[in-house]
Amino acid sequence: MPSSSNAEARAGRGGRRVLNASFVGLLPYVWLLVFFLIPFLIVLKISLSTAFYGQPPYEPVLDLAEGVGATWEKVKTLSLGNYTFLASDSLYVEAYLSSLKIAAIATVLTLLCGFPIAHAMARAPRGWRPLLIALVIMPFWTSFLIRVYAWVGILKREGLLNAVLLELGAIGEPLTILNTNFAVIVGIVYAYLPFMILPLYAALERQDPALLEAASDLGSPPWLAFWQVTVRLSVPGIVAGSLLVFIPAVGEFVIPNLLGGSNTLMIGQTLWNEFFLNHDWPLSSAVAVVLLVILVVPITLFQRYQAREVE
Amino acid sequence: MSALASPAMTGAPLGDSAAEPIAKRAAEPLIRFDHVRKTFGGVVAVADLSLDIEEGEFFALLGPSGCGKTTLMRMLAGFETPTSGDIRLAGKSLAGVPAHKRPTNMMFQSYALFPHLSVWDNIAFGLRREGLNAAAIRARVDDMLSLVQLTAQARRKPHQLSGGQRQRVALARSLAKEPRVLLLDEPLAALDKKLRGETQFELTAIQRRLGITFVIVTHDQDEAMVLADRIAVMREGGIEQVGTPAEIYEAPVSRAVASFIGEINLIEGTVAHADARETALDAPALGTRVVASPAGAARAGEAGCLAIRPEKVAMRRVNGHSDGPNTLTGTVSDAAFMGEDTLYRVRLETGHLIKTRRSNTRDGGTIRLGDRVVLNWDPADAVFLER
Ligand SMILES: Nc1ncnc2c1ncn2[C@@H]1O[C@H](COP(=O)(O)OP(=O)(O)OP(=O)(O)O)[C@@H](O)[C@H]1O
Ligand SMILES: [Mg+2]
Repeated sequence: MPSSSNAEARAGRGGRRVLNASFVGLLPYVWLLVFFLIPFLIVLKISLSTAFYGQPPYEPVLDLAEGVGATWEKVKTLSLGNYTFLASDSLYVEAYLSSLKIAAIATVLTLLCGFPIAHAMARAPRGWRPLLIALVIMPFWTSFLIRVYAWVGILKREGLLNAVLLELGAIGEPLTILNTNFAVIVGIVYAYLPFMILPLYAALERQDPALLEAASDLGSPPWLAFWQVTVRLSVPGIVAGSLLVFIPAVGEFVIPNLLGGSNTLMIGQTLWNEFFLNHDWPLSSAVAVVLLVILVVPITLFQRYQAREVE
Repeated sequence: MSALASPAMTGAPLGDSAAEPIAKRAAEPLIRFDHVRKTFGGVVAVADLSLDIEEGEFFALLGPSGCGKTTLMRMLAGFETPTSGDIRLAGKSLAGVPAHKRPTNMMFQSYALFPHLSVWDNIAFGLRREGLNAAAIRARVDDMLSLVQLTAQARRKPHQLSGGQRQRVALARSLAKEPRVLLLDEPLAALDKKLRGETQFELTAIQRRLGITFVIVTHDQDEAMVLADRIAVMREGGIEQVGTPAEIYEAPVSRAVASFIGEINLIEGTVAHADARETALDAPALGTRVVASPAGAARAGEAGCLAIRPEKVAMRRVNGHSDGPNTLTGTVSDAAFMGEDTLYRVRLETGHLIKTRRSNTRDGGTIRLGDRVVLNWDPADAVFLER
């Protein structure tokens, strides 16, 4: 019966297509599982353990190879001790707060620098735009470390910035900029500016210029029309860019290490110290887990917001 | 629709003009373009154009693509500044008046609805700038919604509307502030033919009710004819002719206007004689002499052109000998069925084609391709064109 075998073949092909489609749909979840969830669970597991001299330097937990009974014994030794320690020691609380504050200030400044740049790019003649985007991305072709290190040469007492300011007579004495929180903020703004510009540009570039004209036609003076239309419609870009800057900036290690001073307190450095100097893997894992939880809040807010925008 | 009866809608137009002396308004039309010129770099978009638009008119700017219609309208709205010349509204120069202070509102070709605002908030947008209280705004927006029959869709966002609904939101938004002049830039271009026809009737009805001056840009001559009280036919940044639809259609002043509006036969020739009664033209393409009777200023020996609309050319099958002025014989070369009528092209002995339109009523008798026919027209229906 040729017709029935045809039908089967068709069904088979259709079935495979469904399978393919669902596999493609699953890919992001597989990715998240392998590269995010599993590593996170490992870190979480370590954070519940206690430090100990050895290799690895923590009490092993949850090793199913030792049998259920032994594993259960291990599980009973797990504790939230590291977390209570973090909460009780003001050093950590302050490091978190200071990181959030520095990251927040830097994010606002990045937005203030990035918006005019993105706006000018989006209004530039169409033919120039690919070149302008290339210029924004260009710094990525050089090592991040070297670019941040270059700021040491600019910001130090006998550095470029002080030399220029002294030459212009704007200051009488060289300023101490390097090794302050301000230098860290400058470094973050510089390093993360492209992550702010690109989403802003994407949001601004697709705005219909007629919308601005419509607003002024309906009685809004230029500044108000700019606010009601240009700024309002780039809110998704502002949110995306701000999170792209804020989230990595909170945990930033290289920039405070190179540009910050002895009283710069950022959680990335604290984590590094716990891990490499004190070899306290469980405590540094707990630091990392808490950091993640702190950052999950803005991420979730962002996704809520996006979902609402799409609606 | 009952909303239209509210005094706010039928009262005096908004703006500083309300306090102006009547005499001054009578002296000058509502809108006056005075030798306006606009260039973009080297491109001349509008060239030394003067035009008057009267209060309460439905005025159409008609012309081929790139002739400067949009530029003219954008100068009136305040989005472009004339390179030279002056635009006056109710006797006052608009020079230096920014767009947001002009008593004009524009319905954009792309509609330019604010995508993040609901239909209701889009319409309320302009009213919020006027310092009205919340109740007044609500009443006004609800009036507008019922005017364009979108009350049920008030809470939707623009992307949740059909093309025709979006177009009506754009209209309501631009009418909400009761502008002295409403500018419409190809408002119906995105609609399909049927919806377009319906909307044209709605637009004229709304304009009559509100008494607001409408200036519409279009490159669709049928649309201009249906909608407008007066039409300005533009060409290459200038005005070719201004007149009522009938004037433009029946008495075009140039070949450009004649051929832009509807179908027409243009017959080139040399003036044989011209007097107060008629202009006779020797037309080599027809191998005969044709006559137009509206008096022109032509002189014998000049080159010119006789224009006659297809529906004014009578056609019948040859039966016996026919003679008289404007009588031609030929064979039916092709026919385009257009529904209520058919457009025929008749090939003369000289090879020249003449278009004639015949209504598809029963009493017409049948005419088939290849039939030998006689064409003729009343000299009074033909126009002599020098340009
Ligand atoms: N911003 C601009 N920059 C440069 N040239 C322009 C600009 N705006 C219009 N022009 C030119 O001015 C001329 C008139 O343009 P305009 O848009 O007024 O034409 P239009 O009659 O509205 O045509 P269409 O029917 O195609 O909309 C065109 O040659 C156009 O290329
Ligand atoms: Mg146009």
